[in-house]
Amino acid sequence: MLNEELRFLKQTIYDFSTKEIAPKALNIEENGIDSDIIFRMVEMGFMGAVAPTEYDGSALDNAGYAVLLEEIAKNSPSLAFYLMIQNSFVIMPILKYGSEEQKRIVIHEIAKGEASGTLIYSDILDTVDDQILTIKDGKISGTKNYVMNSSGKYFILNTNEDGKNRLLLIKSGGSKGKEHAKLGFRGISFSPVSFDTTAGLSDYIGTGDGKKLLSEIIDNSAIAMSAIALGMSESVISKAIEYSKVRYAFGYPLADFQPLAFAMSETYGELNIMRNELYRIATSPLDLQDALTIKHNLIELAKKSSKLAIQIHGGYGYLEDFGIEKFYRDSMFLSVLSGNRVAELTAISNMIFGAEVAKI
Amino acid sequence: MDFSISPELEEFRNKVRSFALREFTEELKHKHDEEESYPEEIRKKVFKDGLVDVSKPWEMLITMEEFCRVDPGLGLSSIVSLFGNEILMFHGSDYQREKYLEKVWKGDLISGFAVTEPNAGSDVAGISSYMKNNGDGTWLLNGGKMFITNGTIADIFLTLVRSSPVDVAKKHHGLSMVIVEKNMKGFSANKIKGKMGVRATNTGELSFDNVVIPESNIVGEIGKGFYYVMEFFNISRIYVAAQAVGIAQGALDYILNYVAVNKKTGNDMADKELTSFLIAEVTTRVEAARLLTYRAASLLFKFTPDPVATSIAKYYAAETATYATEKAMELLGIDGVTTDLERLYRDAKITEIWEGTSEIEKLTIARMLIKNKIKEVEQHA
Ligand SMILES: Cc1cc2nc3c(=O)[nH]c(=O)nc-3n(C[C@H](O)[C@H](O)[C@H](O)COP(=O)(O)OP(=O)(O)OC[C@H]3O[C@@H](n4cnc5c(N)ncnc54)[C@H](O)[C@@H]3O)c2cc1C
Repeated sequence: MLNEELRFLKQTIYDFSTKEIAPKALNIEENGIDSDIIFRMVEMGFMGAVAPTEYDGSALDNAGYAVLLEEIAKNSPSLAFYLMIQNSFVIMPILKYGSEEQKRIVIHEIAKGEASGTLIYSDILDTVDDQILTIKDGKISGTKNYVMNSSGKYFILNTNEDGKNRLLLIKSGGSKGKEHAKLGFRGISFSPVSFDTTAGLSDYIGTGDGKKLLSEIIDNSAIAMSAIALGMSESVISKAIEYSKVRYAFGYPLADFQPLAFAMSETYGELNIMRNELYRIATSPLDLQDALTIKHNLIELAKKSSKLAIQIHGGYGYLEDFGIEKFYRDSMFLSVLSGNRVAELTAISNMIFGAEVAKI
Repeated sequence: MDFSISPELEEFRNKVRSFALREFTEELKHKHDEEESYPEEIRKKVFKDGLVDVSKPWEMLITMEEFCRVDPGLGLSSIVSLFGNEILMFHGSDYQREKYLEKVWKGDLISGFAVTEPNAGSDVAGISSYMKNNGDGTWLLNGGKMFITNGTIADIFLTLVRSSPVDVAKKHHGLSMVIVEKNMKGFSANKIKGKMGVRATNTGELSFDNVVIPESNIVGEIGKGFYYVMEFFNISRIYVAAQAVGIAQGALDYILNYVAVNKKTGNDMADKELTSFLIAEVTTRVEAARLLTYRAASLLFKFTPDPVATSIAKYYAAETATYATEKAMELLGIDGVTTDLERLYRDAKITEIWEGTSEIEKLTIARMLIKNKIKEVEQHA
């Protein structure tokens, strides 16, 4: 399926992920992504994976970027999601909608590991207790509740000025609140962020409606999120398969019990079908319906396979040290962070029906 | 046939629910989850308020359900201190009952039930801890246990050990139940850290290094241990089913509250059919799990336990607990990940693992049914 160039890239990142990330995966969960890892990410060109070379990026295309996230997610979903935040949530929107100056400064700093950023997109997630930030008399103040990588420097978010929604890049003036309890991606900070700054320290990005742009950014990250879900499923199901060969019960390896072997084989098969589909989509001209569909299916698969893997590991599956349970938490968190599920299912349905459906 | 719950039991339910809502504060729920520490102070209160009374099994069951509905970690911790007591109740000597059981019932001693070993969980008869007869009225125990609830806080452990060499054809023979005390020489316990959920409960790894077991600490008959464990599972699995029903109900509470709050703030989610179907599907399963659990319990409490009914209840209720927490998480989305639902989601999964995995429950159900059918066919022939 993958051409030679992609296969080579995959092997390189696989080796890197296995040698350098796997041994640090548990530490990332406990203490976050440290500067050594960021340094290596920069050296490998992963921080600015999708940025053009003129902004110090690696200029990976959709498929290359998917390969990167898939291979990193196998060992550390937290790190993969962090890279996705930098690339899909910050670099890509700036490339697409931003000014030359934003590109030169922000993308450069991220690619060099000098700063990191994030996207605040709770505005499109249908939350109960989260409000759109308003700008009044050139002043921005207020709190956003759900911010991933809240310890970063740059924040891209939707704001409202005089009744108009606009996408804003805040360059300073955000202060991080108390960490939330973290269901998943424990290696990434997640907390409220309070803003108290002037408009001078921030720039608008693009000219369109802020909420619409947020949706577009999330839509455009579908392949990246799919790749993370794919890497997670692959990793966790392979661990279950290996474990079931060496763990014995009632005198037989677990793999000898039909329901267990069949459940793992079935999941493994689904995984391969979906991998092929993902890379077909990633190497074709963008088709939103396909991209959203594969995202939903792969995230469901990640949830299903991590649940199966815990079960296969029995009591050991329930312990952090075995590195299985984190996939159960991370896959659900990925599902939650992946976008507005109902809105996306509606969009898919509308495309299929060729009309506005699913309103009731 | 009567599916009603007596007014007294309903009143008791209200009482334990208010207790849980009052005592399981946000602060304590967070603290014990984060620190993986045992809530001894809550356990003391639970006993003081008389919420744990083994002579009233229905009340025990309702306590389990309502406590887990609010917080499984704190809830379980405060009642699991009598884990395994039924084995002593049925098979303990007068000496054992007086020395241990009565104190466990009062909450003055903490007990544990130690079967699982690093290499044998589901396969109970596959354990290898071995007790050798010294011939002087004492036995010498060597080996270890894994994943033992109350592992580093219990005073005594009802421990399954091998007491004669394995007969490969009859592995479940030659197993015995003994009481190991934490103060015995050669006993040690290590806390197991880093559980995904039920983190307020204490879990440990036990090790027996030439522990001398006096004859008086052997429970019931030597060689009958496997049967006592299976008999005990008929009881404990019903309580796990009640845990699972409580967790599933807790998730449903989240769903309904969330939809109601959204309705109030003008979000039209409550009016969408997707939401209606979700509420109906989760509620139906929770209700079914509860009825199966109560049915299995009613058979047990009338002293006619039915392992099929028990395993059906445990298997289905546990599946419902994980299902309901998943659905709740998906509906609440980002609004759910910072609430107690996040913890409930982590807690739920354990019910499909401990006290017999779902796979083992399925095997129990099918094997019993097939065995009974064969008997029936043979009688007709
Ligand atoms: C937090 C916690 C607390 C616990 N507390 C206690 C305690 O207090 N006392 C105690 O004795 N134990 C306790 N346990 C252990 C628990 O009961 C075991 O983990 C459980 O019985 C499964 O055993 P295992 O982990 O060895 O898994 P295994 O037996 O290795 O099973 C692994 C997987 O294989 C499946 N499997 C096994 N055999 C078959 C088969 N024939 N057919 C199909 N599938 C099969 C299992 O269902 C499971 O999915 C606890 C565990 C945990 C995590």
